[in-house]
Amino acid sequence: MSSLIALKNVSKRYKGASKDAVRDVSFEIKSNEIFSLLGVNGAGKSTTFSMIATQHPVTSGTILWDGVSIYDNLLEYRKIIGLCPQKPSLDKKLTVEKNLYFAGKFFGLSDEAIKLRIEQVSYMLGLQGYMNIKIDELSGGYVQRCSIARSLMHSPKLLLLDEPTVGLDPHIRRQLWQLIENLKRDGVTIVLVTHYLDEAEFLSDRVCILDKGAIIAIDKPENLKNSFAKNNLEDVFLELMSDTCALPK
Amino acid sequence: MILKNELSVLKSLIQYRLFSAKSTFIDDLIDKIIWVSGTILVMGYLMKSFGLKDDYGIFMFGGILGVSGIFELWPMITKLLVDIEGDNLFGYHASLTCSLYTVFLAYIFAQTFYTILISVLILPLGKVLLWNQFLITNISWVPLLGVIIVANLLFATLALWTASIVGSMEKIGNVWMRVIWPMWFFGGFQFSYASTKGVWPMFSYLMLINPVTYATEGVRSALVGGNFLNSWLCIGVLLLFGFVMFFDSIRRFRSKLDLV
Repeated sequence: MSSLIALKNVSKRYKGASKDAVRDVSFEIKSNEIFSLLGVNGAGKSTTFSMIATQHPVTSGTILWDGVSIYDNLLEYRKIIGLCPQKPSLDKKLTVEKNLYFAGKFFGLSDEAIKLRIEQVSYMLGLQGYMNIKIDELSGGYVQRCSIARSLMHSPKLLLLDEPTVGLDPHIRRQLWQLIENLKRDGVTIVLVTHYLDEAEFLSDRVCILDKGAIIAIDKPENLKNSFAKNNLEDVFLELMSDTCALPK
Repeated sequence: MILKNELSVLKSLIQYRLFSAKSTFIDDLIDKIIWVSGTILVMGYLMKSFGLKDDYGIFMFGGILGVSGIFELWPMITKLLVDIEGDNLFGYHASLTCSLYTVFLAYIFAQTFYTILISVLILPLGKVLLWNQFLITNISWVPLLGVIIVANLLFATLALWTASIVGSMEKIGNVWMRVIWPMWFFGGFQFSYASTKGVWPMFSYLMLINPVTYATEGVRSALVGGNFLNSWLCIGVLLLFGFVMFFDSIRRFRSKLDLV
């Protein structure tokens, strides 16, 4: 698999902060893989995600897309990414259909193309019966589905999902896992930020574990389990985090 | 190609904002009708018994047309801050395939169109309420529309600028007393620049640093003529205030929200 995105020595320090939220992080995201960012709260996974999503700039280092800095061609880069932030950032007063319609408009799709794409994404996400319902009348699971549907409206090559299943019922989580797998099968590259290690293990081709802003492990879940002689990713994670997560004696 | 893309996103963002604002339009219009009717009835009719001049009603209506946008400031700023601290649609728009300038311009143009529509709809209400005091034939239409458009552009920009300074909902309570009320009250809503200069010159010079003064004076000059600041001068100064606030808002928001 060829590299789609590469982070080169990326660091991030927020304004007024005394230390870096992300320190000298380098990794590649290959085309058509599911790449997960894992870590405890404050590890730097959401900051790394937000820099890949161009929500925040890097402080130092760079992010390459097909070998060129994303900042040299920011608007073209944004055309290939589909962003599904942790907060859905949908217009609650509008219906599902209108939210999807305007997402298509923002990316320059014609009305005809939008109509067709709405049919496709609503089918993919099981939203067909909900198109005329306002966002604030939907349950959390359907809001999340709508948020993912919106991020898919312009058929992105790279889908960025920040905690897409947080707070959802187990059966809805399973449905979303299936959807993420289907998207991968359709050729979409996916960056996933999650707290759920079972989710990361089930879905990811590779995982990147961050701690205190730095990478402490990056590999396939199977390889990590073998290296640490553990049965699941959660045990690997707990071992790696034994210092960070230790309770005071 | 880049310009075409920016214009396409600008158009879509404006369409989105106007579509989204449709649900509050009737309520906002009713609020404005209550305010305009009450002000004109008191200032144009009741206050004559207390010695106010016969043409004070039309004078006040000029002020109303000029500053009606300032009363949209509070909801505009509140909505912006609630969004930024909550759902963050603003952040989503800032990550679209356009520059930050386009996102800000779309906000300003959509808000301006919205407030102008309300201003234009209260124009006939003013005529009905003031009747013989309000002579349509005295109106200079081109400068009047020019001032109304530019004043509302300024108020939308002012909403962005104030939100960029206020920073959080915690401090929203201070905005009314520290920003909106002084700008409105000392911006010539109830008195003209020329008459103030006659009685208190120092105060009149202070009025000149308040953009609302140019909105009220510019509308009155176009509406009834007479001893007010020239409408075209007012348009120029309002544009100047708007440009400064626009670029400063972008600078502040980019820093505050740490945007690319």
